[in-house]
Amino acid sequence: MPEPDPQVVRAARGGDIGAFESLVRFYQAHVWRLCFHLLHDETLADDVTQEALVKAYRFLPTYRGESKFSTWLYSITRNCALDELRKAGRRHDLLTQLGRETVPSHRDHSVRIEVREAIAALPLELREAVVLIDMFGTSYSEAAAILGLPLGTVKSRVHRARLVLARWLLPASQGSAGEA
Amino acid sequence: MKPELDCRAASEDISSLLDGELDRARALAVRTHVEACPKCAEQSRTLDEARRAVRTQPVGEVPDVTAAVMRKVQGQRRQRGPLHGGVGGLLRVAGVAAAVAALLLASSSLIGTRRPPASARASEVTSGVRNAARMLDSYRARYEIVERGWHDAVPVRRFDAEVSFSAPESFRLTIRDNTSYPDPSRWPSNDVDLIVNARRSWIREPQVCPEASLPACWTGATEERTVVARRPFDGAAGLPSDLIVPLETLSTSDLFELLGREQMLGRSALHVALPHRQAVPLISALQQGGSWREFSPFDRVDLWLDSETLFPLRFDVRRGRSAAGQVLMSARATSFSQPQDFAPGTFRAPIAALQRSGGFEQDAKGSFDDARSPEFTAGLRPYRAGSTSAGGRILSYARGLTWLTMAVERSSQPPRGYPSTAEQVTLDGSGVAYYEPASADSRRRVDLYASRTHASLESNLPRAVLLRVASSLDLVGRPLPAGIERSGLRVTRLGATGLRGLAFAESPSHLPPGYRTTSSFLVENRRGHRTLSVYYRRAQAEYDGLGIRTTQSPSVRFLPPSFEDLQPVSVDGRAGRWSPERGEVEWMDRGVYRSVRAPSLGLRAAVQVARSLE
Repeated sequence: MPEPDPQVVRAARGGDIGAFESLVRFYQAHVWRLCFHLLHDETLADDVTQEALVKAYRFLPTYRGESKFSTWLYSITRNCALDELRKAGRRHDLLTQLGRETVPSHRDHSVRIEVREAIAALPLELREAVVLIDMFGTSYSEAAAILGLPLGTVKSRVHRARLVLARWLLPASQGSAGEA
Repeated sequence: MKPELDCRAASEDISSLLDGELDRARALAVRTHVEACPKCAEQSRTLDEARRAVRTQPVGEVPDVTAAVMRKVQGQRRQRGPLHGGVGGLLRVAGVAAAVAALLLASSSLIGTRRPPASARASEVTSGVRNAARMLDSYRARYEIVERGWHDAVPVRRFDAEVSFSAPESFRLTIRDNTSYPDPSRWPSNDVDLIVNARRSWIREPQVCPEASLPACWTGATEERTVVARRPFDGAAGLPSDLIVPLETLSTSDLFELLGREQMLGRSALHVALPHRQAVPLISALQQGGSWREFSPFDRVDLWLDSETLFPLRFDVRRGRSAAGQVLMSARATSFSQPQDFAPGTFRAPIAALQRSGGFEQDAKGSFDDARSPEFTAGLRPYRAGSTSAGGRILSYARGLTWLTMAVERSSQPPRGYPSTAEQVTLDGSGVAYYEPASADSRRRVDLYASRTHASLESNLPRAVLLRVASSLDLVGRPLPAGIERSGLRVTRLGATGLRGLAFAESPSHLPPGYRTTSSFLVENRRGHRTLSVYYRRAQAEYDGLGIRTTQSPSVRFLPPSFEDLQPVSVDGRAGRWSPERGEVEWMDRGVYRSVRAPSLGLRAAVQVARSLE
């Protein structure tokens, strides 16, 4: 997971607007992707990305360097995304709706599209674990810090997420996906 | 080897093993078990496969939000003022930062954000303008316009134009005519004012009389008109939104050509070329009222978009298809900005003596919990809701320049007539609907005729997204009756099978890019004379309202006489004729009358389609 130059973080904390801008440039793509995978709506992801980064600016003085900067920022991002889901009353709807979705079979679509759809169809708690660990490359302990969960819970969630994904993505008769 | 762990205990740790998250002793124990246990080895392979599939997901493009974030941050710091300074003295740019947010083409080095490709693709421009339109809250630009060939006695006219926009539907367009007329008292000054807000729209323009009769017909009068109780986005197709971001003009990437990146007015610009027929929303944005020269659908439009913000910097209309044709009109931006505030009264629409009511009564507190409201609104937010004087409901949703309206009315009878060009589409879970692309008068539309309810959606969202909105309605659209009687004629909507059943019917094997069959009708009169019309239309827009239509009839024995100025043409050796006025080629083919009408495509394309009938 990329980390910015600590000097840049310090300068931003000290009110250097240019330093903060370079942090925004450095992280915005990651923040947007995290938002997108949690919200599954590009437009909402645009909004929440901005909100999270603006919030990060506001709370920057409270960042004491006890965790990685990325962990701290993703934690803010995740909270903003969950707020958005709650605010719009979407969380329940989204999960119900995703639960109903059928994941297309391996034969019908290219694996890549299917993977994205399969991730989208995971329940939120499994999805956020697998997104952080497999897409963002965080360690289990970083994911635990971002998600505010015990390490063991993260470990079991990522495992369960992969079991579900494997069931959806891989042909039942064989063990390997045969990805092109 | 006997496994030291049982499968259950090992299984839970397989993912952690793959991720290198186990301590050395535990990793050894799990690995030993997996190697010895075929079931767990299989599971390990499967989990690894799933893990790799997720990890190797391609990273898509994401928008660059830096400018939008920094603008908000600056706002928090209460540091007002422009973020970007003047550019080259040619173009003043202030506060464009927010628009950069959504834009395709960020200029600085970013991690995985959209970056200016050496050769940006047309589809990227299309998605870029869609994003920009969504993200734009406010805009003001000034243009200098030069127009040639309006009137023999006035070869050149010059104008200043200013357009202001505050999301979602406040517009102001001011056009001031700076032309030196031969005798200013006898010629109308083409000053036009348009103000639109959520309640009203108002226009003031010179009372138009035919250009050919000028200056004799000019009475010196101006005219003002107001629409009160305006429906949400009423007349939106006529608003100058494409002057702000050419969302509609560039709605389909296969209809314009991206010529590359150039310097324009001191800014880096993307140069796009397209025929006037495709650029109608942009060009007509300036021609809201008053008198303007006309263009042919084939005249070439060159458009330069600011590569950072996708605002139009300049557009030229040239005579004919060539890049070397005479410039008939040129509009150049002299400044653009995104004001945080507008002067009080900017969007206040006067009430003129000449009034029309839109018949809309807005809810004091908009209720969007209506059971009939769409579940999916493509990220647009509830905006205005209310009732019509006819007892219907209108809900609207908006974001930036992007909008969606839904009108719902109770109707116990299926409609007596419906646009024959509408395409019947099957929605995912909401039955059948009727779709029409954007025209000069309306944006994309979907109509659903459910039990006792007619719902009509209109939006500047792309077709696929609008259909998704329609699919999310808690209504089941029913197909309209396949046959209706109208003025003694029986009109039957045909599907592919019905078409094949008609021995005289032929279909084109060649259509210009983007065109596909959208609807087919057989009209029979009381004497059994039959005429088949088939429409071919593009998905997003047909500004001439038609697209391509073939008409075939075994009941017409010879080409009907006409007083039009017709040109003889040959269709596969058969003598035919071309009507430039109607844009239609007609011929007789072994006792069957056939015609291809394509008003915006021209003779060559129409004849090509005609020759491909088989």
